Amino acid sequence: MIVQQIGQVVVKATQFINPTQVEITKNGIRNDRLFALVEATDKFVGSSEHSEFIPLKFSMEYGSSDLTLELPDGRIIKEPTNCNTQTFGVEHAGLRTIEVAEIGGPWTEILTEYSGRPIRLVKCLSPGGAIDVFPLTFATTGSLRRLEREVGEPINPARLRAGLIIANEIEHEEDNWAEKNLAIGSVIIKVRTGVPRCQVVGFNPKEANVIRTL
Amino acid sequence: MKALVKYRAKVNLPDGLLPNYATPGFATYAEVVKEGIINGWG
Repeated sequence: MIVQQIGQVVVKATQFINPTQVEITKNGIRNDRLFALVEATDKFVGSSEHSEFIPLKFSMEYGSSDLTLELPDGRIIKEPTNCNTQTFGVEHAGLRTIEVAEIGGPWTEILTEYSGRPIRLVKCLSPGGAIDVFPLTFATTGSLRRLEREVGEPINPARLRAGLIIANEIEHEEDNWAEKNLAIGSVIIKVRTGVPRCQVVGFNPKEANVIRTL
Repeated sequence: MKALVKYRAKVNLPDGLLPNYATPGFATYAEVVKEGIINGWG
């Protein structure tokens, strides 16, 4: 299998980025959803609020603990990600509890100023970070083409927020791949279940305007 | 733009992992059997 595009989001609920090379570990793409945004209620920013934070572009170089944020106004902030020693659990969509620790430094002030309400940046300490269920998600080029036909316009794959876009032109063939192993270079993945429909697909992956029909 | 709610038929998702959802999206979950490096076209 050939990967056409890689996708990653270092801070869950923010802008999807497309690195050209990633390390795949048992817990998924290294640094993927390693951080998350937490409300004053100690809950993650919900799916319906993703569009608010999608304009925020976070990145993190391998081997570095510094996080870089590009804000819509052009400011670029690069700061270390030192965790507080106190941790707490965040219940995630009824699926599991994720242990997190708040990141010190200017992040809370920046995110709170941006959103107009208290928002904290946390590091997800549980294996897999803030993934929903399984470590990896993928989509195929054939299924994207089908989706474009249905919608009637080009679809940015970032809408799907899938880790890998695999080159395979047979639309939705992957629906029949459950339990099969796929080799992607030296990496082997085992296909599980389809990802349920999610409202985040409707958000423009950069400007976050909404296509509700998706 | 056409609505897509009828495009993907409802299914029973395996494993009982997400019992409250029955409409498949456009991506698929996977586990990692063998670790390594993956390159994309960018």
